[in-house]
Amino acid sequence: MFCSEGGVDVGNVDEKAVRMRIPTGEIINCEQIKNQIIPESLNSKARDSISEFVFDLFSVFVDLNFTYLEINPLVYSQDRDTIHVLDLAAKLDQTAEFESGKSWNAALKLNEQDPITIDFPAPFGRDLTREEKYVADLDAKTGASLKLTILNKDGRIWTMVAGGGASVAYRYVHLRINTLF
Amino acid sequence: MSARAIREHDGKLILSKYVKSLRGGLQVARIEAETKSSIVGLPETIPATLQGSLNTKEAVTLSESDVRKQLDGIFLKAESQHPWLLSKKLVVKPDQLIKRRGKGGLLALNVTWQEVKLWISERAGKEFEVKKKLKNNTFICLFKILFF
Repeated sequence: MFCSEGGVDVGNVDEKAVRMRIPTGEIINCEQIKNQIIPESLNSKARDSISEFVFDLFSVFVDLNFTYLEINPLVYSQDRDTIHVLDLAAKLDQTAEFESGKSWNAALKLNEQDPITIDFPAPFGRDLTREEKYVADLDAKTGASLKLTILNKDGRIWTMVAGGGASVAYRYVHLRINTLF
Repeated sequence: MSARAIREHDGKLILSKYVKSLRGGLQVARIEAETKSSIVGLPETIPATLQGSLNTKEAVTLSESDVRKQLDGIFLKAESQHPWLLSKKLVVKPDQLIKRRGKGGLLALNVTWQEVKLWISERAGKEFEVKKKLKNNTFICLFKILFF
Protein backbone atom coordinates (compact mmCIF):
# COMPACT_ATOMS: atom_id res chain seq x y z
CA MET A 1 0.00 0.00 0.00
CA PHE A 2 1.24 3.46 -0.81
CA CYS A 3 -0.20 6.81 0.14
CA SER A 4 1.10 10.27 -0.61
CA GLU A 5 -0.30 11.46 2.70
CA GLY A 6 1.29 10.30 5.92
CA GLY A 7 2.01 11.12 9.52
CA VAL A 8 0.11 10.77 12.78
CA ASP A 9 -3.12 12.25 11.47
CA VAL A 10 -3.26 10.37 8.22
CA GLY A 11 -6.66 8.97 9.18
CA ASN A 12 -8.08 6.00 7.35
CA VAL A 13 -5.18 4.66 5.32
CA ASP A 14 -7.34 1.88 3.91
CA GLU A 15 -9.46 4.42 2.08
CA LYS A 16 -6.66 6.71 0.93
CA ALA A 17 -3.90 4.34 -0.08
CA VAL A 18 -3.33 2.66 -3.42
CA ARG A 19 -2.88 -1.09 -3.24
CA MET A 20 -0.71 -3.34 -5.31
CA ARG A 21 -1.34 -7.04 -4.89
CA ILE A 22 1.64 -9.28 -5.51
CA PRO A 23 0.92 -13.02 -5.48
CA THR A 24 3.43 -15.15 -3.60
CA GLY A 25 6.38 -16.02 -5.77
CA GLU A 26 5.60 -13.51 -8.50
CA ILE A 27 8.58 -11.54 -9.76
CA ILE A 28 7.94 -7.84 -10.13
CA ASN A 29 10.03 -4.93 -11.34
CA CYS A 30 10.52 -1.30 -10.50
CA GLU A 31 8.46 -0.06 -13.45
CA GLN A 32 5.38 -1.96 -12.33
CA ILE A 33 5.63 -0.38 -8.90
CA LYS A 34 6.06 3.06 -10.37
CA ASN A 35 3.07 2.71 -12.65
CA GLN A 36 0.72 1.08 -10.21
CA ILE A 37 1.15 2.88 -6.95
CA ILE A 38 3.47 5.88 -7.07
CA PRO A 39 1.27 8.97 -7.61
CA GLU A 40 1.63 10.76 -10.91
CA SER A 41 1.38 14.08 -9.12
CA LEU A 42 5.03 13.67 -8.11
CA ASN A 43 7.76 14.70 -10.51
CA SER A 44 9.74 12.24 -12.56
CA LYS A 45 12.88 12.15 -10.41
CA ALA A 46 10.83 11.63 -7.24
CA ARG A 47 8.83 8.87 -8.86
CA ASP A 48 11.98 7.07 -9.96
CA SER A 49 13.70 7.32 -6.58
CA ILE A 50 10.65 6.36 -4.58
CA SER A 51 9.73 3.41 -6.77
CA GLU A 52 13.33 2.18 -6.61
CA PHE A 53 13.15 2.42 -2.82
CA VAL A 54 9.83 0.56 -2.68
CA PHE A 55 11.26 -2.13 -4.96
CA ASP A 56 14.33 -2.57 -2.73
CA LEU A 57 12.10 -2.58 0.33
CA PHE A 58 9.92 -5.31 -1.12
CA SER A 59 12.97 -7.41 -2.02
CA VAL A 60 14.26 -7.17 1.54
CA PHE A 61 10.77 -7.91 2.85
CA VAL A 62 10.68 -11.17 0.91
CA ASP A 63 14.34 -12.20 1.25
CA LEU A 64 14.55 -11.61 5.00
CA ASN A 65 11.18 -13.13 5.82
CA PHE A 66 9.27 -10.13 7.08
CA THR A 67 5.56 -10.71 7.61
CA TYR A 68 4.63 -7.06 8.15
CA LEU A 69 6.33 -3.77 7.35
CA GLU A 70 4.83 -0.33 7.73
CA ILE A 71 6.67 2.96 7.30
CA ASN A 72 4.75 6.06 8.27
CA PRO A 73 5.84 8.70 7.62
CA LEU A 74 8.19 8.22 4.73
CA VAL A 75 9.93 11.44 3.83
CA TYR A 76 11.41 12.22 0.44
CA SER A 77 13.75 15.19 0.17
CA GLN A 78 13.46 16.67 -3.31
CA ASP A 79 16.65 18.77 -3.09
CA ARG A 80 18.92 16.00 -1.95
CA ASP A 81 17.05 13.12 -3.60
CA THR A 82 17.14 11.18 -0.34
CA ILE A 83 14.63 9.04 1.48
CA HIS A 84 14.11 9.06 5.24
CA VAL A 85 12.29 6.49 7.33
CA LEU A 86 10.88 8.33 10.33
CA ASP A 87 8.83 5.62 11.97
CA LEU A 88 8.58 1.93 11.36
CA ALA A 89 6.62 -1.10 12.52
CA ALA A 90 7.71 -4.56 11.45
CA LYS A 91 7.15 -8.24 12.13
CA LEU A 92 9.44 -11.11 11.26
CA ASP A 93 8.65 -14.79 10.76
CA GLN A 94 10.31 -16.40 13.73
CA THR A 95 10.22 -19.85 12.13
CA ALA A 96 12.49 -18.39 9.43
CA GLU A 97 15.15 -17.68 12.02
CA PHE A 98 17.17 -20.69 10.84
CA GLU A 99 17.69 -19.10 7.41
CA SER A 100 17.40 -15.35 8.07
CA GLY A 101 18.56 -15.10 11.67
CA LYS A 102 22.17 -14.48 10.69
CA SER A 103 21.12 -11.65 8.38
CA TRP A 104 18.91 -10.06 11.04
CA ASN A 105 21.68 -10.20 13.62
CA ALA A 106 24.28 -8.95 11.16
CA ALA A 107 22.26 -5.74 10.81
CA LEU A 108 22.13 -5.27 14.58
CA LYS A 109 25.86 -5.77 14.79
CA LEU A 110 26.35 -2.48 12.92
CA ASN A 111 25.46 -0.63 16.06
CA GLU A 112 26.69 -2.75 18.89
CA GLN A 113 30.15 -3.73 19.98
CA ASP A 114 29.04 -6.91 21.67
CA PRO A 115 27.46 -9.72 19.68
CA ILE A 116 23.72 -9.36 19.80
CA THR A 117 20.72 -11.33 18.67
CA ILE A 118 17.37 -9.88 17.69
CA ASP A 119 14.68 -10.04 20.32
CA PHE A 120 10.90 -10.15 20.05
CA PRO A 121 9.39 -7.93 22.75
CA ALA A 122 6.10 -8.67 24.48
CA PRO A 123 3.10 -6.94 22.90
CA PHE A 124 1.87 -3.53 24.14
CA GLY A 125 5.17 -3.02 25.87
CA ARG A 126 4.24 -5.34 28.70
CA ASP A 127 6.84 -7.05 30.86
CA LEU A 128 6.64 -10.81 30.90
CA THR A 129 6.35 -12.57 34.21
CA ARG A 130 8.76 -15.42 34.86
CA GLU A 131 6.05 -17.95 34.02
CA GLU A 132 5.09 -16.14 30.80
CA LYS A 133 8.73 -15.93 29.81
CA TYR A 134 9.21 -19.66 30.35
CA VAL A 135 6.25 -20.48 28.12
CA ALA A 136 7.42 -17.94 25.54
CA ASP A 137 10.80 -19.66 25.42
CA LEU A 138 9.07 -23.00 24.85
CA ASP A 139 6.91 -21.41 22.13
CA ALA A 140 9.96 -20.20 20.22
CA LYS A 141 11.35 -23.72 19.99
CA THR A 142 8.33 -25.44 18.58
CA GLY A 143 5.97 -25.26 15.63
CA ALA A 144 3.12 -25.68 18.12
CA SER A 145 1.63 -22.53 19.60
CA LEU A 146 2.21 -22.16 23.32
CA LYS A 147 1.02 -19.00 25.02
CA LEU A 148 0.54 -17.89 28.57
CA THR A 149 -0.86 -14.48 29.49
CA ILE A 150 -1.44 -13.53 33.12
CA LEU A 151 -4.33 -11.06 33.09
CA ASN A 152 -4.91 -10.99 36.79
CA LYS A 153 -2.34 -12.59 39.05
CA ASP A 154 -4.86 -12.78 41.89
CA GLY A 155 -7.59 -14.31 39.75
CA ARG A 156 -8.86 -17.85 40.11
CA ILE A 157 -10.25 -18.44 36.66
CA TRP A 158 -8.02 -19.94 34.01
CA THR A 159 -9.24 -20.10 30.45
CA MET A 160 -7.49 -22.63 28.27
CA VAL A 161 -7.97 -21.66 24.68
CA ALA A 162 -6.93 -24.63 22.66
CA GLY A 163 -6.37 -25.01 18.97
CA GLY A 164 -4.92 -28.02 17.26
CA GLY A 165 -1.79 -28.35 19.36
CA ALA A 166 -2.73 -27.62 22.93
CA SER A 167 -6.12 -29.35 22.75
CA VAL A 168 -4.38 -32.57 21.77
CA ALA A 169 -1.94 -32.16 24.66
CA TYR A 170 -4.74 -31.50 27.20
CA ARG A 171 -6.73 -34.48 25.95
CA TYR A 172 -3.67 -36.72 26.20
CA VAL A 173 -2.95 -35.66 29.79
CA HIS A 174 -6.63 -35.99 30.68
CA LEU A 175 -6.77 -39.53 29.26
CA ARG A 176 -3.54 -40.50 31.01
CA ILE A 177 -4.83 -39.28 34.36
CA ASN A 178 -8.11 -41.12 33.81
CA THR A 179 -6.42 -44.39 32.92
CA LEU A 180 -4.13 -44.14 35.94
CA PHE A 181 -7.03 -43.81 38.35
CA MET B 1 2.12 -18.04 16.00
CA SER B 2 5.43 -17.21 14.46
CA ALA B 3 4.88 -13.66 13.14
CA ARG B 4 6.66 -11.63 15.82
CA ALA B 5 6.93 -7.89 16.11
CA ILE B 6 10.40 -6.40 16.40
CA ARG B 7 11.63 -3.12 17.81
CA GLU B 8 11.58 -0.02 15.63
CA HIS B 9 15.32 0.37 16.28
CA ASP B 10 16.06 -3.14 14.98
CA GLY B 11 13.77 -2.74 11.96
CA LYS B 12 15.52 0.49 11.00
CA LEU B 13 18.94 -1.15 11.30
CA ILE B 14 17.85 -4.02 9.07
CA LEU B 15 16.58 -1.60 6.43
CA SER B 16 19.65 0.61 6.56
CA LYS B 17 21.91 -2.40 5.99
CA TYR B 18 19.97 -4.12 3.22
CA VAL B 19 17.97 -1.43 1.40
CA LYS B 20 20.51 0.15 -0.95
CA SER B 21 18.39 3.12 -1.87
CA LEU B 22 18.21 4.46 1.69
CA ARG B 23 20.86 6.95 0.75
CA GLY B 24 19.59 9.39 3.35
CA GLY B 25 21.26 7.33 6.04
CA LEU B 26 19.79 6.23 9.30
CA GLN B 27 21.30 6.71 12.71
CA VAL B 28 19.75 4.98 15.70
CA ALA B 29 21.01 4.30 19.19
CA ARG B 30 19.54 1.89 21.68
CA ILE B 31 19.41 3.09 25.29
CA GLU B 32 18.50 0.24 27.58
CA ALA B 33 17.17 2.08 30.57
CA GLU B 34 16.14 -1.07 32.36
CA THR B 35 16.46 -0.71 36.10
CA LYS B 36 17.72 -3.82 37.82
CA SER B 37 16.05 -4.71 41.07
CA SER B 38 16.41 -7.44 43.61
CA ILE B 39 13.50 -9.49 44.84
CA VAL B 40 13.19 -10.01 48.57
CA GLY B 41 14.26 -13.47 49.65
CA LEU B 42 16.25 -14.40 46.56
CA PRO B 43 20.03 -14.28 46.50
CA GLU B 44 20.87 -12.87 43.06
CA THR B 45 19.80 -9.75 41.28
CA ILE B 46 16.97 -10.50 38.93
CA PRO B 47 16.01 -8.22 36.02
CA ALA B 48 13.03 -5.95 36.38
CA THR B 49 11.03 -8.15 34.02
CA LEU B 50 10.49 -10.64 36.82
CA GLN B 51 8.76 -8.21 39.11
CA GLY B 52 5.33 -9.34 38.08
CA SER B 53 5.99 -12.99 38.90
CA LEU B 54 3.28 -14.88 40.75
CA ASN B 55 5.82 -16.50 43.02
CA THR B 56 7.12 -13.36 44.63
CA LYS B 57 5.27 -11.31 47.17
CA GLU B 58 7.30 -8.19 46.94
CA ALA B 59 9.78 -6.69 44.52
CA VAL B 60 12.23 -4.20 45.84
CA THR B 61 13.51 -1.61 43.43
CA LEU B 62 16.69 0.37 43.68
CA SER B 63 16.84 3.73 45.39
CA GLU B 64 16.60 6.93 43.34
CA SER B 65 20.34 7.53 43.52
CA ASP B 66 21.17 3.98 42.45
CA VAL B 67 18.82 4.32 39.49
CA ARG B 68 20.56 7.59 38.65
CA LYS B 69 23.96 5.90 38.79
CA GLN B 70 22.80 3.08 36.56
CA LEU B 71 21.37 5.52 34.03
CA ASP B 72 24.57 7.58 34.05
CA GLY B 73 26.52 4.45 33.22
CA ILE B 74 24.12 3.62 30.40
CA PHE B 75 24.35 7.16 28.97
CA LEU B 76 28.17 7.12 29.03
CA LYS B 77 28.21 3.84 27.18
CA ALA B 78 25.84 5.24 24.54
CA GLU B 79 28.04 8.35 24.10
CA SER B 80 31.12 6.27 23.47
CA GLN B 81 29.37 3.94 21.02
CA HIS B 82 27.53 6.75 19.22
CA PRO B 83 29.44 10.03 19.34
CA TRP B 84 26.95 11.62 16.93
CA LEU B 85 24.49 11.78 19.85
CA LEU B 86 26.44 14.72 21.20
CA SER B 87 26.29 16.83 18.08
CA LYS B 88 22.97 16.21 16.40
CA LYS B 89 19.37 17.10 17.09
CA LEU B 90 17.61 13.94 18.28
CA VAL B 91 14.31 12.14 18.60
CA VAL B 92 13.70 9.92 21.63
CA LYS B 93 10.87 7.46 22.23
CA PRO B 94 10.29 4.13 23.98
CA ASP B 95 10.78 1.15 21.67
CA GLN B 96 8.65 -1.58 23.20
CA LEU B 97 5.70 -1.97 20.83
CA ILE B 98 3.63 0.88 22.20
CA LYS B 99 1.49 2.72 19.67
CA ARG B 100 0.48 6.38 19.59
CA ARG B 101 3.50 7.47 21.57
CA GLY B 102 3.20 11.04 20.35
CA LYS B 103 -0.34 11.40 21.59
CA GLY B 104 0.60 9.67 24.84
CA GLY B 105 3.36 12.14 25.63
CA LEU B 106 6.08 9.56 24.97
CA LEU B 107 7.92 11.34 22.20
CA ALA B 108 10.49 14.11 22.27
CA LEU B 109 11.42 15.74 18.96
CA ASN B 110 14.36 17.85 17.91
CA VAL B 111 16.11 17.75 21.28
CA THR B 112 19.73 17.85 22.36
CA TRP B 113 21.51 14.93 24.05
CA GLN B 114 21.31 16.75 27.42
CA GLU B 115 17.55 17.04 27.02
CA VAL B 116 17.33 13.39 25.99
CA LYS B 117 19.13 12.26 29.16
CA LEU B 118 16.80 14.32 31.32
CA TRP B 119 13.74 13.08 29.44
CA ILE B 120 14.73 9.42 29.85
CA SER B 121 15.65 9.90 33.53
CA GLU B 122 12.19 11.29 34.20
CA ARG B 123 10.52 8.27 32.64
CA ALA B 124 12.69 5.16 32.91
CA GLY B 125 11.31 2.44 35.17
CA LYS B 126 8.11 4.39 35.80
CA GLU B 127 4.65 3.12 35.11
CA PHE B 128 2.66 4.74 32.37
CA GLU B 129 -0.92 4.31 31.34
CA VAL B 130 -1.66 3.54 27.72
CA LYS B 131 -5.19 3.38 26.42
CA LYS B 132 -5.70 0.72 23.84
CA LYS B 133 -8.67 1.09 21.56
CA LEU B 134 -10.07 -2.27 20.55
CA LYS B 135 -13.09 -1.66 18.30
CA ASN B 136 -15.68 -0.32 20.75
CA ASN B 137 -13.87 -1.08 23.96
CA THR B 138 -10.96 0.69 25.46
CA PHE B 139 -8.79 -0.96 28.02
CA ILE B 140 -5.88 0.41 29.91
CA CYS B 141 -2.43 -1.13 30.03
CA LEU B 142 0.03 -0.23 32.67
CA PHE B 143 3.57 -0.77 31.63
CA LYS B 144 7.06 0.13 32.67
CA ILE B 145 9.22 2.16 30.35
CA LEU B 146 12.22 -0.02 29.72
CA PHE B 147 13.88 0.66 26.42
CA PHE B 148 14.45 3.69 24.27
